[in-house]
Amino acid sequence: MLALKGDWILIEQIFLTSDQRQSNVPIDTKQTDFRLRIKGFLVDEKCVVGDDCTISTKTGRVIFGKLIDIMPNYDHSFGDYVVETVYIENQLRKMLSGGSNE
Amino acid sequence: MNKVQSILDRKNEILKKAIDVDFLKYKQSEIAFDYEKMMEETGYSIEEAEVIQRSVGVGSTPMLELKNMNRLISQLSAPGFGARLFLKDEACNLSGSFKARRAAISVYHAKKLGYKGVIAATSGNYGAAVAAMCAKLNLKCIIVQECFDSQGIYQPEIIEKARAIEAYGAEVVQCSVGPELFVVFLDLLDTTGYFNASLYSPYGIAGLETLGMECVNDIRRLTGKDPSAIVVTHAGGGNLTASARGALKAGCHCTIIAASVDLHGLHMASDHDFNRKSFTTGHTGFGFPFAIYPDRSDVIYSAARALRYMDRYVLVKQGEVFYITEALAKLEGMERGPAGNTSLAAAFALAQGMKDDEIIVVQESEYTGAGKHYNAQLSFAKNNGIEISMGDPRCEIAGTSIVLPAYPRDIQAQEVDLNLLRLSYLRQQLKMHPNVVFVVEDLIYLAQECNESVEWIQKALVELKGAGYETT
Repeated sequence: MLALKGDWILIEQIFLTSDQRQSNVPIDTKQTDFRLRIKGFLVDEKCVVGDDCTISTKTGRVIFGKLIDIMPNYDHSFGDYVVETVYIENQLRKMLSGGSNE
Repeated sequence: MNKVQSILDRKNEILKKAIDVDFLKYKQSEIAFDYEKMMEETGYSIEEAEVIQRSVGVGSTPMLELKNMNRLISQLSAPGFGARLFLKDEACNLSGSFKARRAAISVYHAKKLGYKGVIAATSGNYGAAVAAMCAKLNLKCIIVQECFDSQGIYQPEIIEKARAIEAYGAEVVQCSVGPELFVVFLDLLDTTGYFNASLYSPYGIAGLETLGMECVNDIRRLTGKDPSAIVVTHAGGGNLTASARGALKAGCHCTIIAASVDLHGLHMASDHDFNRKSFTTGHTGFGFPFAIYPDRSDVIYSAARALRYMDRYVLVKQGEVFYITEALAKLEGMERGPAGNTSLAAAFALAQGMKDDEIIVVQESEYTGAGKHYNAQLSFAKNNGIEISMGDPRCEIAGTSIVLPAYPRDIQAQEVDLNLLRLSYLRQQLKMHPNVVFVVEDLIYLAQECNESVEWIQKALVELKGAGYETT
């Protein structure tokens, strides 16, 4: 995947490697790098995913990091159907129509 | 010297430049500072805050009686009991939450002081609120979020908040799990010279006092009397502090009840636990530490000091909040939350123990949407191996299970012993100042901090330090 100058991309920086992390973090967290992800427009002529590049962010900061996504979008959703909650509506309607409160 | 230490060593210098408050001016001793003087001199009056908020589409949100829910409360209560429940629909604010009130004042202040941009460290609705206000006032904006775990898995609610922030034209810096986010935040403040729109500044708290005052005035207008209780979802302490101060400024001395989601057992800085919780705020992971030690924040002295204003503190389970969130949609036609519904779940239970001529107010709601919606959170939890079941919510184990109450009467508000919190607060002070000799001013300050008498503080200090310890 190739990004060209001016493309909206996502980069990742390792802000702290695991051995640089603060002493007060839990052990499981301490074993991981502390990473940042930031979006911006590619400043370099071109870059492929996995390579280092420079971006200009929305506030005009020029920063360096590894390209991890090109033209990132949002695909978060309302989740899958959750069958466990179906009873709630039936229960409440029954109670309010004078049925049992159980 | 490593990168972290070199930035942390300059913490006070960076924060002072980024917020333009000389906090140390209010220092009275090693322990004490003059909180009221700081609020008076550096904040905004409630009237000024109202004017600023009106100019940017914030405040004057609807106060709604939840009539169907009140019928349910009535059914579940003993004769003569079952208070009327009202909800302040703060989702109607610009950017969809009460956080717009804080942001309106902070960003206005940044503009007035001539800053070119604003930075806030928040994974919550405050990010969107600050971004929206910066859009209105033409300031640059960076929001720093804790967002994904070491596997690169994002919390869906925080993704939605990032989307909203970007929708308002701001930059988002997303971090993996860990307290070093604060170092990134300081580094950004230092390199950009932007304003620190802290959640804990006197400006932010002053902005939120309008909410407490509106709650009281709305209830007086609608019912002709004062509320008996206001229930506040509690995390960092600002919502509770400011709502209580606003109510007091309206001349109302109702009971202020804090409510948090019970996430005991999960470590807030654990990479493993990060995506095993279904609430990103309003939970005990913030509520307890910020009550015990409010100055753990991103300012020298936090303006959010919850223990001063808390009359009661109750906990609810994740499953209880999800149930009440569904009930709010199905019975009242309001899709909101979920985190903002923490206080609603608590109020639903508390109302049943109050007289039927009393009024209980839930002082916020928040917008919902993809990622934030409780269905998204339950679905995400299931995919992470959390067991979802119906039964007794007391059996819920955060990070392992979510138990939806089998019946609405199973929703309960579990009381926290405030004296234990006060003792923890004092223990924290003793830990930070092990060799301090308390003077009278310190004892008065600690009494104000703990909302207790000087005598109580003296007795507690003797208890904590051992027999023979003299406090003055």
